Amino acid sequence: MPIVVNVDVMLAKRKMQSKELAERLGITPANLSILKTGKAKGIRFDTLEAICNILNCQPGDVLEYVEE
Amino acid sequence: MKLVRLISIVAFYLTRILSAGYILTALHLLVSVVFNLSTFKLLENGRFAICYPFTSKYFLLGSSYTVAYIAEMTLLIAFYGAFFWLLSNVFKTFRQKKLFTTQGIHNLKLFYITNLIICPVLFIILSLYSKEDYPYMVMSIAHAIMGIFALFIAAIFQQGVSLQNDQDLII
Repeated sequence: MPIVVNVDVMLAKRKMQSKELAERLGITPANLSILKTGKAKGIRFDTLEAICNILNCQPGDVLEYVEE
Repeated sequence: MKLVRLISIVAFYLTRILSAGYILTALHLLVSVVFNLSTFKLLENGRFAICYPFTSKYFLLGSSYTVAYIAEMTLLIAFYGAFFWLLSNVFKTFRQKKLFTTQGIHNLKLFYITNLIICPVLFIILSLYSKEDYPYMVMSIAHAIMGIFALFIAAIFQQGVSLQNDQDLII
């Protein structure tokens, strides 16, 4: 999929653990893992909004288009 | 959805009880005849009767004491035992909170296979040797209609499961 999820990069920049992000987003670590590994079919706007809010970033920091 | 679940719960228990009744009846008939128990009574003109367990009150009456007749009787009762069991499994599917499951599809598949394949084959075989004038043709058509509906519901469930899987991957 040409859309890459850079949550891992943002987590590293903010020195935050996946578990903490999952807890604050109110999703399971398994679902966060699906999102991070690019297995997710989509992301809800409210999830994206919460990620941006928690990680203090823009949607473009989390999602990236990479041509295949 | 609450009403559907409520009806499904009632229908599930009713069909399970019916199924158990049919299966126990088939077993009782078979055991009584095979082991010539006191519940088995041979009557005049080749007729026979099966009594309620531990009583001499007639429960089932047969018009011909032959292997073919007893086999037909047992198979027919056992078939309806299995039919109601599979039907109860279909109702069980509608009891669940999560409706679209692979188990639900499996239950529906067994139900439509029984109605569309097993039932006509069994009824054709039975009608060839039957001494009773059961409306096997009409019964087969009724079961086929049920089978077709179950087949369509199974297709809807299949679509539902794949949509649900997709939905589960939207975080």
